[in-house]
Amino acid sequence: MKSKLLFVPLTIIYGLYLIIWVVVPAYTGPEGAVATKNKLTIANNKLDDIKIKQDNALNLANSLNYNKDQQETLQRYLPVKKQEEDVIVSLNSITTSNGVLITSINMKDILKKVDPMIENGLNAGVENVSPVEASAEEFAVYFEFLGKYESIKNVIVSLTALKRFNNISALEIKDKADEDSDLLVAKVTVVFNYFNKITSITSVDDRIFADGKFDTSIMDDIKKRTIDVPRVNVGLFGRTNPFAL
Amino acid sequence: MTNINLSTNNTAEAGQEERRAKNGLVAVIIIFLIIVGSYVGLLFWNNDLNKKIVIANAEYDAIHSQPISGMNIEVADLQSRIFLAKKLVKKENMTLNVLEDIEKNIVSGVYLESYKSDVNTGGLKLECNADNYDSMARQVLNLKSLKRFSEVTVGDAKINEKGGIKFSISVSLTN
Repeated sequence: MKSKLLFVPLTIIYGLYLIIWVVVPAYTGPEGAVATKNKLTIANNKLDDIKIKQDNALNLANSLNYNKDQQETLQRYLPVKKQEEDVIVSLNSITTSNGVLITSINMKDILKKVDPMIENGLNAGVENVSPVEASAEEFAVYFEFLGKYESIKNVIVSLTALKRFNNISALEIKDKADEDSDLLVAKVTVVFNYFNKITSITSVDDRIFADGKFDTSIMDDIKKRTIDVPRVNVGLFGRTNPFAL
Repeated sequence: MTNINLSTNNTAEAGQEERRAKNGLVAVIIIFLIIVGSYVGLLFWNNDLNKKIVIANAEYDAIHSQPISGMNIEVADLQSRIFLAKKLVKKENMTLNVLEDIEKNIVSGVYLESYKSDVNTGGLKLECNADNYDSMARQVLNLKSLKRFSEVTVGDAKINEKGGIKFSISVSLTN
């Protein structure tokens, strides 16, 4: 009889215990159904994203042939190697066309700033960094020349129009010690860029494949540059005495 | 003669109470079963969701681990070059702009003896010659009025061999 009397209140208490401590955590707890559903949504989104990127990669690969010109143009503006010879011939062409003579040229590599996370080995590794995150290699070219102010200014303007990416980082112009002359001495530091050809990519899940077509808008911007990089011709070579002309 | 109570009221009330008690008991049991059933249902649902997560992750891993080669490497190279080109094009050619700003803002009675700019350090140093201190002051004021320049600092000023004023100005460049 007593057990019959206790059955209902005990069932209610146990039911409340189940709701508060078992059912609700099973629904909203960290391992509960809601959390699992969220995890599923994330997993599905990730899967959808990589599927889209897979399709984009296919579309981009198919359209590559139609973008050969763009590829070649960009490789001229941002070559795969340093190509110092192009820089030398370009500087010579620009200065001589403006009636000035280079008195010295000096080139120096600029070391990349290494991400401290990568340096300390905390990152997944440099090879896992998306090519999009990669930055172009840089080298500085210091050159000095004599000329009138107008010519110096024209050299600077021409450098900004050169069909190879560069950035004039420093400029020094001063009077030549010679009082009677209106010639000035100019010292220019220009940073040129290049970007090694990509040889591997870890996965299709990369921002590179985020869009299904190449962004060709950049071509309009770079077409504003008008000064070609002259082609270097090796010409005749080979001599019996390399110490004589 | 013994009195026999023939009234059925108490029996009926007792029967009703018993029915209510039974109904209450049934209701409590049903609610309890619903609670237990919900919990079991949640467990099944959670289990099903976990299975779907495993399937989705496995499919993702399969695509992720597919080797990337051939045309996709070419695609990656071109895309990277486009991204980098955009960054490089955006870089304003500050050196030329600063030089042109100086050209436009040299006041009458002042000329430059030397000009030194470095966009990396954000510094510009000018050595100037002025007719007199008034021209020097006007030049300093004019440079201070330009938005591109901040912290215009006047250095040494002394009489030059032509009787004018030779002075230097240091300027911080703002982006």
